[in-house]
Amino acid sequence: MGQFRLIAGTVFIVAGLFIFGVAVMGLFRLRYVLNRVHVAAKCDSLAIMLVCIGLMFYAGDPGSILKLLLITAFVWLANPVASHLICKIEVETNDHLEDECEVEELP
Amino acid sequence: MPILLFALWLLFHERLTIDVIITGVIAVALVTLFLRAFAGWSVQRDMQFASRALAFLLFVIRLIWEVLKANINVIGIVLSDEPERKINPVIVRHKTGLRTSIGRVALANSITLTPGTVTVDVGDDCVYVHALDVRSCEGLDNNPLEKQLENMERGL
Amino acid sequence: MENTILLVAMGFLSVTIFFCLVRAILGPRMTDRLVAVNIISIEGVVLILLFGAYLHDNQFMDIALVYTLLSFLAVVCLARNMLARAAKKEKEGTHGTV
Repeated sequence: MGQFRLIAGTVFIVAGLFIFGVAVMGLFRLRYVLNRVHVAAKCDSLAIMLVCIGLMFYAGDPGSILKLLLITAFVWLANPVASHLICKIEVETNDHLEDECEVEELP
Repeated sequence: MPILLFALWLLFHERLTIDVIITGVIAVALVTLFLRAFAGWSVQRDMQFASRALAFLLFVIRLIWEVLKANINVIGIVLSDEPERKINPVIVRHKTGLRTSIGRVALANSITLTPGTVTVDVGDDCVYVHALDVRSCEGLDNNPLEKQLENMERGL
Repeated sequence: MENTILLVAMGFLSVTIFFCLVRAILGPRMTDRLVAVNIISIEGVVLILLFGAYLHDNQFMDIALVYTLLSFLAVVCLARNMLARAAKKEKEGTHGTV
């Protein structure tokens, strides 16, 4: 394996892991569910993209690269839907929503 | 669509032999027949989608850039001390001119992926958005992603 | 060199998964737990991918792909179930007051 590929892959994987760490820190530092969803939804989608790019540099053959792209695309499609559902539940079941954020208009 | 399905089949096998090709053709034919019978698939619709592939690619590139900006924003909020005191979460109603359901789904997904905003609910002509900070929903009113989606719809 | 990096990465991911689990157990509301489970499942996918790279085995990518599908389905099923339960409760509540 070439030196360049090793370094590039490592940089991307470390960046992805850093973002995962930030996501978990956000779970503990933010108090309200709707704010936690933000951290979870965004950090996960970027982190999985960065780790997949890093692994593409490590793997190198076209089959693996396409599969990693497929995994990234699927997570990017599925993750917003999951966080959207979580938000919907939170808005429908939480009785003290006004304490946590300003509500302009509700569905 | 059948070509994409066949490419996916070959991707899962990672080799090109005669048995893989024969079983692949049979499976793809079955799935295509199923789609035509139950999901309204036709060659004309595929052509329409293919003509907008370039616009969709531009949209995806733009989306990746927005996601990068969003993440730097959110990471800054999380790593600052006393994160809850600095932000001001709010739920707003955002009107959209998108008509087709695919366009609205793409808009909702891209809103969830971009700076400090999460879609809470999708209505007939509007989406309800929870923003992590009031400042981040100001950019919602004329964001370039929605314009790109509208252009894509007009080409339909 | 490459293997050491991957091992350290897997160790770090395991630690973050542990903290997510703590959040899932502590979480005061049900939705807190769902968020934590969502993050755990995505980190699980990444863990499988890193392990596959560590063993130089391409089959792990197929497993990761299927795991993504399944974890997404799990979250959606739980969410739908909770939505249905909330709707039912609301209906009963209004019936009781009227």
